Amino acid sequence: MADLQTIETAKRYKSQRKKRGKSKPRIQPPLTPMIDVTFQLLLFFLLTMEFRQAEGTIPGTLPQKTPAVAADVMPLKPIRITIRPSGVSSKGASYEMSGHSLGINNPQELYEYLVAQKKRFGDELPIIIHPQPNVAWEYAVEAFNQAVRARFKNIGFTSGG
Amino acid sequence: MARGLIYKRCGGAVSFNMTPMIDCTFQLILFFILAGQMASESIATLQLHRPLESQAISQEEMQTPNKVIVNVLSAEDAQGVDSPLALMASNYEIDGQSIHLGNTARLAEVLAERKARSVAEDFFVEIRADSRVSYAYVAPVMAAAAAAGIEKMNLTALLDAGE
Repeated sequence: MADLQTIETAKRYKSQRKKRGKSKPRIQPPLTPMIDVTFQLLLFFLLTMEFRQAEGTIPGTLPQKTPAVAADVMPLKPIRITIRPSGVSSKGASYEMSGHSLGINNPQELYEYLVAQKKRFGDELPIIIHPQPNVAWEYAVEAFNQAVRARFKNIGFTSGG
Repeated sequence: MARGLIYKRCGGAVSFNMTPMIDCTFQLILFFILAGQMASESIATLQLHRPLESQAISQEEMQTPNKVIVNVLSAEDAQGVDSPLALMASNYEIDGQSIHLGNTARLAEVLAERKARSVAEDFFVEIRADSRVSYAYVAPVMAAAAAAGIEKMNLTALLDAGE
C-alpha cells in the first residue's frame, strides 16, 4: 500500500526544471461583450445613416406689399422673366423676357442674356421672376440662381402666380 | 511517426485572431459618426435642385441663426421619381410641425410667431421646397412670409458639384 502511494506521489511530482519551462497562463479580458456592443453600434449607424448631399442657400428678398409705382417714376424698367412650362408632360421650361419669347430654354442662355443686359443697364436693374403656377420649382430656383450668378442686385419674385 | 508528429502539432484549443476584425469595426463606426449628418427635425427629406453654376452658399458660411425653415414636401415620397404626383405638394413643415397646404393663415401665424421670438433684427425665411413641386405651392409661403413681416428670404439649393 505504501509503495503504491509512493508511486503516485512520484508520478505527480514535477521537477523545478519542468516548472520553469512551462509558460504562465495568459490573462485575457473577455472580449465577447465588447464585440457584441460594437456590432450593435455598427448596425445602428448602418440603419440610421442617411447620406445627404451638401446644400446651401441663395439669399434673396421677398415681394412686399408696397403701393404701386407709376412706370414713368421707376428709374429702370425691370426685366420680367416669365417661366412657362414646356416639353413633354410640361417637364421642361422656357424663359420669356419682358413679354418677348427669345427662345431661351436653358440656364446658360438665360445667364448670357442677363449678362448682356447687365452690361447695357448696370447691375441695379431689377429682375422680377414670374413663374407660372404649374412650373416646377426647380426652374424658378434656376432662374434665380442665374440672376445671382450674373451679379444683379435686385432680384425678386412676383407675389401673384 | 510522421502521422504522430502532425497530430501532436495540431493539438490544443483552436482560436482565431479577432484583433483585426475589431479594428475594422471601430474604423467603420468612426467613419459613420464622422461622415453621417445627424438628422435634424427642421430639415425634411426632399429632393433639392442643383442649379447650373450654383450660387448657393453653405450653411456654415451663411451664418444666419435667426431663420425659420419652411419645407415644402412633394406628394411623391420616392426620390428621383418624376411622376405627375411629384408636381403636387403634400404639406408644409416647420420644425417637424405639419401645416396643411390650404392653411396659409396658420402658416403666416407660425412665421409671425417665430419672428416675434427672434431677438435679432434680421430674420430670414428659408424656403426649402422639393424641386419637383409646382410654383403654385411655393408662392403661398412667400406670401405668408411677407404677411408675417419677414423681408429676407433664402432659397435652398444644392451646392455646386465642385464644392
